[in-house]
Amino acid sequence: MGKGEVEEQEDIFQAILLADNFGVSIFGSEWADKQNPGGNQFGEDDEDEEITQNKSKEDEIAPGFTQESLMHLGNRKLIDYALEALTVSGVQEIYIFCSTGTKGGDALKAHIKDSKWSDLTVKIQVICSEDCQSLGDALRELDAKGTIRNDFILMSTGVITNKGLKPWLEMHRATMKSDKGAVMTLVHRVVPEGHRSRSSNSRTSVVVDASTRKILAYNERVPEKRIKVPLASIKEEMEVYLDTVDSGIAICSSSVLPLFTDNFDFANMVDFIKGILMNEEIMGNTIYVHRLEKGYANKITDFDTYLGISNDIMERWTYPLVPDMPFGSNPDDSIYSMNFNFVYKVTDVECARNAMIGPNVIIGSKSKLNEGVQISKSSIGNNCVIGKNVFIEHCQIGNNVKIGDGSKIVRSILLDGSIIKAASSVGPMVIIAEGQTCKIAIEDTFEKSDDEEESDDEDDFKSEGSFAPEPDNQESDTKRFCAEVLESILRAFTDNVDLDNLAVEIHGSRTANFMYFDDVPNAVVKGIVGVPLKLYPDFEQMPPKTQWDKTSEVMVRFKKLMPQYVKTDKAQKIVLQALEEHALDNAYFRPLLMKVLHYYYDIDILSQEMILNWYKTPSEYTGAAELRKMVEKFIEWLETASEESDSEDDDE
Amino acid sequence: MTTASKESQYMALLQQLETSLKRGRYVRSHELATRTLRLAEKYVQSDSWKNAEEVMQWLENTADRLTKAAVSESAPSNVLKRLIKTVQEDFMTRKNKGKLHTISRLDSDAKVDYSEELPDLRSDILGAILDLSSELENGAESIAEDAEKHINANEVIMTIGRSRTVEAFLKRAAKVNKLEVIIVKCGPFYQGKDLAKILSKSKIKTTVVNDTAAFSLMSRVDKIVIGTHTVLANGGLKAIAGCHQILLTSKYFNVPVLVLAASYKLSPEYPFSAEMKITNRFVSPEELIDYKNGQMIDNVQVYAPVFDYVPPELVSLFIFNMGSHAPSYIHRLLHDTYTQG
Repeated sequence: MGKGEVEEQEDIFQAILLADNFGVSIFGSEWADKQNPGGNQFGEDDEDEEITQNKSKEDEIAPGFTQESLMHLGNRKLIDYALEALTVSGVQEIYIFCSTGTKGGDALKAHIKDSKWSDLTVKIQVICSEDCQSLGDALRELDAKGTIRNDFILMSTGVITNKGLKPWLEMHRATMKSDKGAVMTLVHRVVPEGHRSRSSNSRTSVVVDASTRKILAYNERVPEKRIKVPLASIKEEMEVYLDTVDSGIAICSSSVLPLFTDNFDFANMVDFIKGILMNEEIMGNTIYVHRLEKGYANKITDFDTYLGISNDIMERWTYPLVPDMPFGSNPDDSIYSMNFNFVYKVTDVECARNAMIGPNVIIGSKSKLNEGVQISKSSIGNNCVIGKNVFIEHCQIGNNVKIGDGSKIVRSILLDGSIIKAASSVGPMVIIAEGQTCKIAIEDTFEKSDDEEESDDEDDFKSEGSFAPEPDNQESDTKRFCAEVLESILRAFTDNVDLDNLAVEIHGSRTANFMYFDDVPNAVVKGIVGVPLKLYPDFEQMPPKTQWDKTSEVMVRFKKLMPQYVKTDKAQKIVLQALEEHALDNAYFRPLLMKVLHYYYDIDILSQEMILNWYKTPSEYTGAAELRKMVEKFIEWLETASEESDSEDDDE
Repeated sequence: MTTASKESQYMALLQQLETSLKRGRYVRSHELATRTLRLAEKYVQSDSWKNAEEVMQWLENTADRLTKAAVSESAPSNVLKRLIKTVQEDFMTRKNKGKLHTISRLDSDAKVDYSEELPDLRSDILGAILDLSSELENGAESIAEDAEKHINANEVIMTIGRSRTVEAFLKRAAKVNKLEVIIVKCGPFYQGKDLAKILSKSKIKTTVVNDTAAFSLMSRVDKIVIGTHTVLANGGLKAIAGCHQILLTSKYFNVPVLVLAASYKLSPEYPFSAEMKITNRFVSPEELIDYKNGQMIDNVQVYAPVFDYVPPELVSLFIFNMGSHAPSYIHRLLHDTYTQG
């Protein structure tokens, strides 16, 4: 390799742009399932019927439906914002990585060609892959290709920024000069909790060295309001960032890709950061963070941030990435003019005189708004027809959408070509593609209660192909209830929620899902023993000793919760059955079962009689006999202990 | 071969200019004017045109295109539109060469056929472009030459924000007479501070004040000297935000206002015309309110305009590089610079 060649490579400014988030959709897991009907996230969902149903629908799904980065945001495609930011900064080669296979990839390629991004002096390459499950896989594949040789920018889906990337790259290079091991600089924007453009799930905590901004500890969520900092990395002066969000922009050294290749367990960015921090002593690699106070940089991570950022765009925080400024490409884009109240319109929009438009509204070319329309904080695509007296708030509406008279649409997304019948009510949290409806998954368990109304509403508008989750069979209800309780317990554990509040939350989930009181102990027990599984992704690989430590930690934490639900013999029976089911579903749990039973026996949740009763009753499950064998020792002890304890009781 | 490469050259230039306009990544309108002129030069040098009509058509289309790319910037279209007039004139002089009397006047109703091919037209236009580019280059200098005529000894001058033309003007004036300068900082961008630094380096007595202090200091001020982004066809200004209120104060105290402008800042557009070609630019409100303040930004609408419209009656005198004129005279200047209609 000649010297000249090396220098030439130095000059090329490269970037990797992720076109999707590897099956994790901003609209929740249900949406992701619909995008990849085959790829089942939860592994053990046995709803074969629904999957086949999805597959038959697959052909009808519009490209924008499968490729999230082609969704509308302020009448532009999501990916255009990222491409604009990259090209403005003078990036010369952009690799767009698309994990939805050729289908999403083709739609992306077509968009890039149509919108003339390819006409700019930038090399844009779309890489499609179907078997990439994670960021790690994607970067390993790129490393194998060998196209990235320099320091590069890694940008996630849905990034919006108006800052130049070049200064950041130079800053990172300067850091590399003083610290040879610096592999990455993360860009974090200060967006305090409660901000409209911050996800309510985002609880990142970063501990940095105050002078160099080197990351000392990084946590996705703050566990029990404590932050652990390894003793070795304690510095004289440290700062803790709790008010920042990851902007999805990372400036990476060329060594990042080989690092991913060397460590097969790095699946996502958090894995990478934690892995690097853990091995800092051995490998000498370090990560820095750049705390951004001025300028815009944010990432769409869920529905709330999607709507929040769309308002930021309309209120011009992202200038020059605003509706009335043309982007580098798309020469045929219509020209918007800004009016009072942040209303953006094309001159050919037809608008009734008494229509109330604004604040924060974008209306695309040739759209028609009839009398009495009220719109705020929304964007409406081209060629839409909005009927009389329609009320729209917090919506993103695609092109060629027709909305019937008197409808009310709140916090929803209407994709291209959707049709809403007159006098229907849509939302909140609904996505409508042509003839298809999907509810956006929400975290809060209480809001689930409006599911029932939801399904009624769907009948009002066109929904032949609707495969929205309908609470029709008891089976799936139980499943969802269990999942919700598990979620509540998990959150209670990590955030140290008061047990009383947790009980209220569980009660809320129960009533929302029409569960009987008897169903609660089952869900609670499964929830408690299921927490460690959710908390540590590699829990099943841990040594049994640690597994037990973690499990008992959770059990001890919630020991006061159990007596509230386990009062009768019947409840005890349910608990035992739940434990049995959990053990049969999870191989790791089988050896632990004995200790768990022992613990609950000790704290008087399970009586000796009921345990023996359970042990003696044969079960219909396969493998139950072996399971009973595994707890044989405990049962033996129990039988002998009973006589002793009886005598003890007598003594007192 | 060479012409083909020239063609690609001007296409590339056009693309570059358009992109930087679209993205709002430019510093000064002077730079835009210079780049536009270079683009026009490359086009005229190329073989893409045969006659004056084609050149004029191209100039007009390009002016449209560049206006669309950035509606708030008028310098590129001003330069191109001025060239249209020059091409017309050159064409007429070339056509009527040798004739004793030139009877046809440019603005007469008779339709002139510009499709005639004149061999020397190219060099004429290139000559005109050369003149224009030297005018652009020396614009600030030639305006500054007038400084001593307008500013007397020991005068207190107020200026708003930062203008390179004003900077040159004041430096020139300070060479001859002692003067004192009050600079209004001009929030939220505070360009006034930069000017203050530069002026104090050249030993001019400089005071920086807040925008709100302008009224209380106005009684001490002898003259206001400002630059502008655009001079509109009615003699009004599109100037940096904050100008309007300060000039209203000057009206109250009867302080004369001198506006310095290079010729390319003169625009043939009227304010509030139906086509809304003169538009403001609204930038991110982050200078006015902190983005961190989530509660606030969710409930308050914050506008951050870059320009103010200043009505012509607040301006006492324009100083162009081609001479000084009162606002009421602008229409005449327009007539000389741009084609009608």
